[in-house]
Amino acid sequence: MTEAQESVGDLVASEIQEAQAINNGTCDQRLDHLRRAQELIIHHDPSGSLLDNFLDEMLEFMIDSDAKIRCFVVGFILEACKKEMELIKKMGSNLLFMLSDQSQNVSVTKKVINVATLLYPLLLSWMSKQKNPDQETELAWENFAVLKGRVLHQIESENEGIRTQTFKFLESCILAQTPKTAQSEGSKADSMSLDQVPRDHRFISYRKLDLEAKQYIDSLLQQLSAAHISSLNLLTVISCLTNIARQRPEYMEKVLLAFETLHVNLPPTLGTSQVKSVRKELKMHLLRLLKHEASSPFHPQITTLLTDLGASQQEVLRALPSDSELKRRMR
Amino acid sequence: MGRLKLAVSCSSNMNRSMEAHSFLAKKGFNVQSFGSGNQVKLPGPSPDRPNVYEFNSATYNDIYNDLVMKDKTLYTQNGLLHMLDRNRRIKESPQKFQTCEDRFDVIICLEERVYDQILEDLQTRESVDGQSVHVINMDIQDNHEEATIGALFVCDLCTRLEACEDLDNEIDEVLTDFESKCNRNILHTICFY
Repeated sequence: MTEAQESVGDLVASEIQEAQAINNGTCDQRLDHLRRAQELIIHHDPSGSLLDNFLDEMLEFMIDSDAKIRCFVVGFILEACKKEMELIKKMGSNLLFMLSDQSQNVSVTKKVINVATLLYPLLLSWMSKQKNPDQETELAWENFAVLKGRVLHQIESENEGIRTQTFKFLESCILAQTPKTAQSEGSKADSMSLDQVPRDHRFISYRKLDLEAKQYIDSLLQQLSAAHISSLNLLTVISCLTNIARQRPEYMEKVLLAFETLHVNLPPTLGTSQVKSVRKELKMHLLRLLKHEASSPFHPQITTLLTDLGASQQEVLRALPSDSELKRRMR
Repeated sequence: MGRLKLAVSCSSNMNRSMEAHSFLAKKGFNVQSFGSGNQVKLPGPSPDRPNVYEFNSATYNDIYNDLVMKDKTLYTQNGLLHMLDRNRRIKESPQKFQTCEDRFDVIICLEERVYDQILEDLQTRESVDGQSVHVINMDIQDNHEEATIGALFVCDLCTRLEACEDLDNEIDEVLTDFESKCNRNILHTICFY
């Protein structure tokens, strides 16, 4: 260890001690110390040795009595894995533990699902690139599969916020487990997609992921026809499906069909202004889909739906690609 | 729940959002205010000659001095100087929502066009970490009296939202109750950073 690393290490140790020692201070003070420790560990030590040295101390806060601190640790697990994905071998089980939070705290559960949403594409990408994965790596994959299963189970949760996060998790799984095409839009260049998974991977089955993604899509689409879905989650599902249609245009037709059906069968439980909010959301997303390169075959369908939703002719014309743009696409 | 990070937005960050900002800040809320239009527009000597300024560059003080120089009597009579004097005591400049990188738990828009502009911005941003934000619209007319009443409504709504133990789980119900009480149309959606 160099002298500079040692002094940063001392700082980290002192921040962690402060966070442990404060008994009568506010949770925010303790969080400040932990945030500073995380910043030093993750961003001020390119070697990664501080992460190894202080990992256990940071993870000890997983059983803290304050839910905010537990949420912080869940976020730390993500940052640590982003820095060194190998750590998933050790920390996958921690996420699983946190999902069944000691006091069933909703915010901790939501944070775990949010972290799983962000972590899954990174993990799948990392796993896919492993040339000779060892047994521990395979075990980490299996552990994450258990976590994935438990998260997906939350789609039935009675808590609306947990369901919202679960729909975002489904969206993330679908995007990571379906192939990108030339017309995929809006995704970061390095975002994960099924085409990056080698067909001969030792323990990840391309076919299984593909099949799962299709089931996930159906599960999201089914939500649109659920009679008792809340306004909040209906809006979330509409947004997830639009993201999927834009980034995986092969699903554009299915999504549009589902939107058409939804438009004429809005859940009876919605109030007047909730109906207005949902119709507005549909309209805004459909205008965005109209601009999408892959939507050309569905323009008549989309414009009819938009007109029914109250879009003016000018709004539709503004979103439609120009003739020259359409010709360019045809070529 | 702890204190929510709130944003209120109108078109120019001058009248409605600043009245609400002022009122909420006095009540101790964690609030910021914004405009969502392209430029800051204030009434001029005639409807076709508005005073126009750039967001994030002209300060409230600059605008105040500019109007004093242009026609002190007119802008005193129509209340603009009084409003700008209030604004410059709250913060330095009108801020455009679309150029702000801060995160919020709830964004309250005070006009449907503002709601549309803010959604357009949030829904086309590159996704970062999936943190959710509730966006709510409540129509308030752009005049002094309505801005004052609007601030009371916004404060009532924010009090109800902060009283929730679990905002995501309760917001639909809170908004339905609030809507029937204030007798105004409420729009609501969720976006993800």
